Amino acid sequence: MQDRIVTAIFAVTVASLLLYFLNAWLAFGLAACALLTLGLGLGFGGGRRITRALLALFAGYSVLLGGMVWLAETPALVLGFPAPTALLVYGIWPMPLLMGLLYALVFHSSVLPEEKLKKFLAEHGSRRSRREPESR
Amino acid sequence: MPISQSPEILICVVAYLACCFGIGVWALRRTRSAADFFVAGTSLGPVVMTIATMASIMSGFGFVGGPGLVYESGTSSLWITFPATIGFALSWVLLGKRLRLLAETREILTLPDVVAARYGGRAPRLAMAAALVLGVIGYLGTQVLAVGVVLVAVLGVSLPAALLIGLGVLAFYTVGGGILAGVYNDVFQGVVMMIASVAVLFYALVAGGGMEQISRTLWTMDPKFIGPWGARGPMAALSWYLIFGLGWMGQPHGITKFLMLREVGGLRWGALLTGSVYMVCSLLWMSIGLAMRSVVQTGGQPPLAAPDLAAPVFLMNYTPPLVAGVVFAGLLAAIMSTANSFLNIGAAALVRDLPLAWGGKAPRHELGWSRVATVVLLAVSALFALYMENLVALLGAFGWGTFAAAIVPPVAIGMNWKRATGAGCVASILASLVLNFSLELASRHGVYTLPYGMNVGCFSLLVSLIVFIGVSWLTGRGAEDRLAPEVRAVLEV
Repeated sequence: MQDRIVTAIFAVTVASLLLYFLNAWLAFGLAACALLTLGLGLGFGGGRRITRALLALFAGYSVLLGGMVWLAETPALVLGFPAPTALLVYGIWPMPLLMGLLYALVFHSSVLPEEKLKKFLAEHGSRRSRREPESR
Repeated sequence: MPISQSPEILICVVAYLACCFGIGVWALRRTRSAADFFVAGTSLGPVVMTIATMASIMSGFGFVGGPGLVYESGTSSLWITFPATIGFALSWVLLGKRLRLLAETREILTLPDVVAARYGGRAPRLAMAAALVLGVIGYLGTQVLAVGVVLVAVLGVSLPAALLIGLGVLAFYTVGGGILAGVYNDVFQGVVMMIASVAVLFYALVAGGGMEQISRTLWTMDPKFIGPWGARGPMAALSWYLIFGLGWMGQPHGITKFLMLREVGGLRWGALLTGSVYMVCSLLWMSIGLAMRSVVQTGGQPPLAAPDLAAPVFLMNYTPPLVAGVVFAGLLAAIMSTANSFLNIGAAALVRDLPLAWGGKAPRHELGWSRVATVVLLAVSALFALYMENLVALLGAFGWGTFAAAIVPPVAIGMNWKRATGAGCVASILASLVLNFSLELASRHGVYTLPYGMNVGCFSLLVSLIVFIGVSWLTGRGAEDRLAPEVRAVLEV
C-alpha cells in the first residue's frame, strides 16, 4: 500500500511540474490537491472509510476549484464576498478541518488502536517506563 | 499620534514583556537537563501543545507582512494563510504518531536525531543539521530585526536600544527556561494573538462599512483584486497553496512539538484544534489588508507609503488605543514566540547535531553549552540584523521554502515509507538547498525568475520530492531489511 501511494505521489509530482511549465494552472491546481490528498492517504494507511473520506476531499477540492473558474466573472455577493471568492473563504479554507475531525474520530480505531500501542510500548518503549497507554 | 506617545500601547507592551519575564523565572526552576531544555522534558498536554504550535508558526509576518500583502495584491495572499487547515491535518496524520512513538524508543531531541534514527549513518544527520542552521539564521535574523522595529515604534528608542530590551527579555526566558519557557510563553502569546485577531476583525468591518461594502469597493477598483486568485494570478496562488499546505510538515519549530507531547493519545484532537485556532488568528491577516485597501480607495485614508504599513496605520487610526495596545503586544508575541523556537533549534544544531554528525559526542554539560549557544546565536543574529540587513532579508525570504523542501521528503515521506534510503534523504536535502539558494539569488539579481508567478519554494519542493523518491528507488535494495527493529515498528504501527 505504502509503495503504491508513494508511486502515485511521484507520478503526480512529475505531472505537476509538467503542468506548471505548460502554464495549465487549473490542472496544476488539481494536481496540487491530489498531492495533498495522497499525503493524507500515505499517513492514514488505508481502510474503506478513510479512502471514501479522502476521495470526498479530492472531489470537494475539484468542485470548489471548478466553481471558482465557472463563477470567475460573477459579481454577485455571497456572505460578503464575490461568489468565487466566497468558495475560497467558506469552502477551501475550512474544508480540510474535516480531515482533522476524521483523524480524531478514527484515532482509536485506525490511527493508533490501543492494543497496537500497548504492544509497541511493551516491545520497544525502552526509553520511558513501560507504562500503560492512557485510557480513552 | 505617534505610536510611542500612546500610554495605553506602552502599558500593554510593557505588561506583555513583564509576563514573558515572569514565565521565564517559573521555567528556569524546572529546567534541569538537555531534555528539559530541548523538548520540555516531554511534558506537554494537548491543549498547551496545540496553542504553542500555532503561536510558534504564526510569526511576525502574519501580523505585519500578511496584511501588507493583502493590501498590495488582494486575495492572492490568502492562499498563504488558508492552507494552514490542510497543513495541520497533514502534519498530524503523517508525523504526529510516528515522531512521538520514535521518541518513545530512544533519546530523540531534534530533527537530525530523527533522520539519524530513521536512516542511520552520519550523512543524513549532517545534511539535516546544515539545512537547519541555514534556515535558522535567516528566520532568526528577520525575527530579531522585527522585534527591534516594533520596539522602536512603541518605545521611541533607537534600534540598538530596542534590540537590547527586546532581546534581553527573549534571552532571559530562552536561555534560562529553554523550550519549556518558550512553550508556556507561546501559550500566553497565542491567547494574546487570538484576542487581538477577533478584536481587529470587528474594527476592520466597522472601518470598511461591512464586508459587502468592502467587497463592492474593491470590485469596482479591480475585480481581480477581490477575485479568488487576487492580483498575482492563479498559478502564484495555487503554488502558494501547495507549498504552504505541504510545507507545514517541514517547519522544525512546529513538528518538533510532537516530541514534547506527554502522551501519544494527546494527538487525537490536535489537528482540528490547531487548524481552528490558526483560522482565528488569520482573521487579522485578512481583515486589516482588505479594510485598509478599501478605506484608501474611498479616500478615507491617503495611499500608504509601503504595504507593510497597513497594520500599524490601521491600528493607530481605526482602533481604540487599548485594542491597538493588545494587538501590538500580540505582534511582539508572534515575533518572539517564533524567535524562541528558532533559538532552541539553532542551539541544538550547534551543540548536539553537528558534533554528533562529525562523529563526536554531545558535550558533557549539554545543558550549559546549550545556554551558551543560545546567547551566541542571539548576539550573532542581532549583529546580522544591525549590519547585514540584505543578507538577513535574503535568507529570511526563503526560510519557509528551504525548510519545506529540505525536510518534507525525508521526514514526512521517509517516516511513512520503508523503502526510503539515507542516500535519498541526503540527495533531496542537497537538491532543495541548491535550488532554493540559486533560484532566489538569480531572481534577486534579475538573471532568471520562474515564470507564471511560481513560488521558488514550491518548485524546489516538487523537485526535492522527485529526487528523494527517485534516489530511494535506485538505492533501495534491501533498505527495509536494514531498518532497526524499533524504527520498523514505528513505521508499521
